[in-house]
Amino acid sequence: MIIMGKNKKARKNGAGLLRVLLFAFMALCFVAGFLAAAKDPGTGSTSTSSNYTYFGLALAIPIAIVAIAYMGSYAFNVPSLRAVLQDELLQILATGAVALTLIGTQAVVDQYLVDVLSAASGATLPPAGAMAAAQSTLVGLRNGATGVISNFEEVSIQLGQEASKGVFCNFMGVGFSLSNCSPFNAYRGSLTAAAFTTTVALSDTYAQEYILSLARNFAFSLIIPLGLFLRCFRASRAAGGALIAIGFGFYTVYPAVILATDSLLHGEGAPPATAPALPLMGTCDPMEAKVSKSLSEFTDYGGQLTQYVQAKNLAYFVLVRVLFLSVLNLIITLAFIRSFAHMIGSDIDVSALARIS
Amino acid sequence: MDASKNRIALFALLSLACVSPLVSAVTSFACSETEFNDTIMLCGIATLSMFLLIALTYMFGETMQSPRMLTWAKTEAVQAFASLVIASVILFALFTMCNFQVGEVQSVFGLGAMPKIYQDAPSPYDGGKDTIYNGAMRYTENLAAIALANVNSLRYDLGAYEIRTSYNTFECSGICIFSLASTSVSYFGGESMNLAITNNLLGIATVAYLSTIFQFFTLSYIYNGLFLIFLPLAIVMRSIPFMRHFGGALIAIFVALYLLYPLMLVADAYIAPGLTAHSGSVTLCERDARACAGKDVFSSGTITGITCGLATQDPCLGFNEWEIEGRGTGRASMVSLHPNTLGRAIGINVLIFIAAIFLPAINFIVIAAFGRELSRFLGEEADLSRLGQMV
Repeated sequence: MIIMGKNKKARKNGAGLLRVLLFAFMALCFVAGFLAAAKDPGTGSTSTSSNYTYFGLALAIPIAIVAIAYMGSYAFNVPSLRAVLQDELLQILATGAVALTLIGTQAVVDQYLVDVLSAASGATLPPAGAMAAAQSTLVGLRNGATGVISNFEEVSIQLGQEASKGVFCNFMGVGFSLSNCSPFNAYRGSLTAAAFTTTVALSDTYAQEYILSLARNFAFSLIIPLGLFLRCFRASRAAGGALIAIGFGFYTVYPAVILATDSLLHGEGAPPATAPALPLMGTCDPMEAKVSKSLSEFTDYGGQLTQYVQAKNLAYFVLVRVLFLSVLNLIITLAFIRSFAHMIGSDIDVSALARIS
Repeated sequence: MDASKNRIALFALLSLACVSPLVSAVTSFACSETEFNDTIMLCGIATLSMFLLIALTYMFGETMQSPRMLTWAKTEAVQAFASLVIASVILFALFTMCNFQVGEVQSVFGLGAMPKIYQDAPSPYDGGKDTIYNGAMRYTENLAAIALANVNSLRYDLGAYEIRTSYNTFECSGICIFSLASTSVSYFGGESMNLAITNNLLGIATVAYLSTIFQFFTLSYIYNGLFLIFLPLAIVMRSIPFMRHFGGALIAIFVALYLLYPLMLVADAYIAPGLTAHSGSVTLCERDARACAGKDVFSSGTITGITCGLATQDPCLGFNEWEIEGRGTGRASMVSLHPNTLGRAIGINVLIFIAAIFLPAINFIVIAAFGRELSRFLGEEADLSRLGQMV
């Protein structure tokens, strides 16, 4: 009698679970219709959703496999397998919900975030979506960093040429040499150090551009569908979760963070003006006999190189706006990827990706 | 209760019967690896030995009327059967991987274009007819080639800067016939800054090249050593009573490295051209007369990731790296060395760094997650996250 009672209770629980699954499945089918209205990531246009077809395919294949196995469990009367399959079906539905959430979030980011940031920062951002706006921002930073390096290069070459000048004279077997311009070499070390830093900044902007370009092309067409498919199976659930988190993190969060950090760096206040180009030094006369004149030229040029506005604006652009923000962007994105992966059932170590910074 | 057990046994037997023909199909295809048959044979021997041991134990158990031995034999028979199923599934996956062509990834995921390295592969592999294994190898080979071309280009730049910065002239100032009075000037002395930066870039390029080479040899090892030794060992271990968990972990490592790693590399080959799709092409100056071998890694369809600049054309005027010797005889000769500009050199360097370091880092994160989960599923948890540190 007690056993019969237990069986009845178990059957009741099983039926309840099936009802929940049916409801979840129907809800998923209902909201999946919104996919057709969603914009196609990558192009930004309302399309026939070729990418989203693969979202559906990634979920349909595991559902078919589970359905066949479920029928098998009845055919061979294996109730234990049925319980496992019900759990697996729930995971597939959860994966479907994750897919819909990703698309919805992406649509919100594309349609609203750019407007919000434009309003908050007072800057005009391109209307074609967060990805395009972020890429436009990075192109601006890259051009700025390239300009700074070119300027450093020009100044360094001229400085090196002038500082190398020296006079040699030999009279009656006695040689004299005068290195009147060599003090200018003192500025070259600092210039090289500054150029090094700018090189790193330029590398960072290139890296960010490449990663965004990669995400724009393949996050929603290859990485996330593959992740959704893998997430539907128990053994590959963690790998699938990792791919979904990485794809979504770099497609949606990364551009949003790039835009947010760059736009909100100053709020509505005006950012510092672009750093003026470093001045080229004049011609150094190696035969100048007056030490006072040489000293005066040296200190004058040093004054021009180390003007407060020059140093401040350069440091702002290279150190803060490019270097610091690129590291910050990556840290925030990686933190999101880790948390999101954990949320969808994958515990991954993303520290290896941080090496790029 | 017996009827239920019989049904389960029938279901298991039918499942095995379904997958076993695939195993025989594998032996006939085998990705052109002659070792494949040996591995199958080793797996078969391991399974048969295990079943023989179980049968002997069962017979002894019956003879000596030992319920303990009988129970052990029955339990192990189920586990040996499970090992057989796992081995069959693995071989089925291998079969699929051997028959799946890289070109099919494009149609499966509805991608716009195929990577140029697969599209223009030598016949008969052109048009994406490589297997996943060949495709992964072709990608790492091409990536290594372009990474080396970048190292050569930077080495040339470094040499050019070295020669130019050490160039010094003594300019006669009129009375030099009597007093030898002259002004010494190093016109390119200021390029020591470029020299230092290029030196740094060369270090990064070398790391990227080494990472690619590491992946190339890892792949070679996976295709040979791992397959020949690891798989039979893992299956044997999975069948031995007290080593079952260890065997499960070995199988998980094998599946992660032998099945998932090549797949991830093929995925990388597909997505690598996307790196420059929206950021524009970059120019690599050819300094090794090999026409920037491997540059197609970053090209597909209409995307040309790397433009190869010849030494006879602007903006890469100059020489091959072995022609740089003896070019220090005059100022015009110095100018003709034409090292690449820093901005271009940085752009190409970062592109190769991302492909050689960043993408493999993602690969290893996914592989580690997959391997850990699968090993947990099969028995013992194996931590593969350390593999990522090799990049």
